[in-house]
Amino acid sequence: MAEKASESSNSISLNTVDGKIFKVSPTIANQMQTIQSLIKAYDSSRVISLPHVNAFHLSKIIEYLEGKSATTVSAVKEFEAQFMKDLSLKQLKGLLIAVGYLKVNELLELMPKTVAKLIENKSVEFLRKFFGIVNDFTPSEEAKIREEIAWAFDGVDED
Amino acid sequence: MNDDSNTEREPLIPGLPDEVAELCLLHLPYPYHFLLRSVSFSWNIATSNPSFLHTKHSLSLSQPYLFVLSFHKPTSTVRCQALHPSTATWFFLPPAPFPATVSFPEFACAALPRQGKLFVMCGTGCSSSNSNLVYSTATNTWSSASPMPTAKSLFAAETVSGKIVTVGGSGTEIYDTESDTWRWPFMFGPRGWVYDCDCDTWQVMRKGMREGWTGMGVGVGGRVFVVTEYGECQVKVYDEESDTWQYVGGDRFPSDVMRRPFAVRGFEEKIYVVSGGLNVAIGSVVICEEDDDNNGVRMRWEVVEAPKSLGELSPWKCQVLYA
Repeated sequence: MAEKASESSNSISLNTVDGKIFKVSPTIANQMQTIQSLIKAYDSSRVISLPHVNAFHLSKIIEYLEGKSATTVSAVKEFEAQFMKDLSLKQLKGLLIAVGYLKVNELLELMPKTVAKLIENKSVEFLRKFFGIVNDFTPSEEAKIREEIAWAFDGVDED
Repeated sequence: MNDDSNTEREPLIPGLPDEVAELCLLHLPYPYHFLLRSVSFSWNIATSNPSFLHTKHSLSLSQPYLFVLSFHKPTSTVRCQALHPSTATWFFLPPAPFPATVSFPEFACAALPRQGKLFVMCGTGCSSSNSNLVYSTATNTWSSASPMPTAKSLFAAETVSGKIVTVGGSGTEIYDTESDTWRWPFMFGPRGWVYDCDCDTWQVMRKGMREGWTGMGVGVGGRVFVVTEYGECQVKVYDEESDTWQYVGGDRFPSDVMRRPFAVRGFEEKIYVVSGGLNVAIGSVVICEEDDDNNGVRMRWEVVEAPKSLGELSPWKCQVLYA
């Protein structure tokens, strides 16, 4: 039985963990793999709940997916650079989790690159502080590894 | 802390699932991830795991690096460095456990680029017998491999279909890199011969090829090139049909910034030439079949100038590896 499509065209409603509802076009939704599989499971009229994504992160993802449809390669590059620059480390981490959950492939490629650029050529002490990583080596273990890679410590950036 | 169970391990980056954090580490260019081994126990485990490099390859995140073994005259030592061509960055490799005294021609060098392995074979005259060394970009370490059956002097090595063929005054030998064993196909030392690896035979090099071989030869895209070792170091390409050499078209070799001696390597449509002081000229080979001049071969050269600190180094061997 062919039912008439609802008036609000075929946009998809997404409900974030903090209770905000986003309506996105199928083009945008199709770029989030997790949504694609959820659409199949859901009755199309219902709102899809995203338990691991908050409104800020979803709005950023939508902003990215809409923004990167710029016409020229250089415009996309510029947009991506600005998009990444606007994020704090805390936001970057939160967004990475959301992106990982929703499987937004393009951001899963772009964001790790950004993080890698941030930490390239930084000292070990800087990185521990930057990410809040606890040094769980015993002093002798750390000394041993440091000795093995002693050559690599030349030329890292000043903290 | 030396508990290997995954469940007990600290996260790579607090707040991030490990698989996402690992993606970030995978994007770190070689060789920074080695530096990061000392960040924490989890980082050490993640970046030294063989699957790390495997994933890096499968995501096409590995890039070609030019590995250069060079000689530092003032101290008579061998130095190992890697150049990332697109960023013009040089990295120092851990020192290779070379014998204390070395002399030039008694080493040969071959590589398995996709596996990120560099082989150095020591010939006669090495003080500590004829040991062979393997460098792996996966672990950034040197280890030893089976020695050649016969000690050689004045020899060369090349990788052919995953096997290393060494050629020297005392014969030709084939090393199987998978099984770490040597085979010894024949007893004579070739002088101007061509080896057909499929048939496992040597043929006398044709006259035109031999007489025009006026420099350092490299193979790129199924063709043989020679970077001539005199004058402006023009590049020639061999034409099998007419048994002649012809100068290539396009850019001239940047001889103004390149001083001899050279180390030369052909890899994936490019010719890499390392000069004294480690300036590197990278020549892209462009084939235009319809172009009748220059055998349809043109070159485009780019130069990566080395920092002054490398000025005293003489290149000896170079290889391109993915890392």
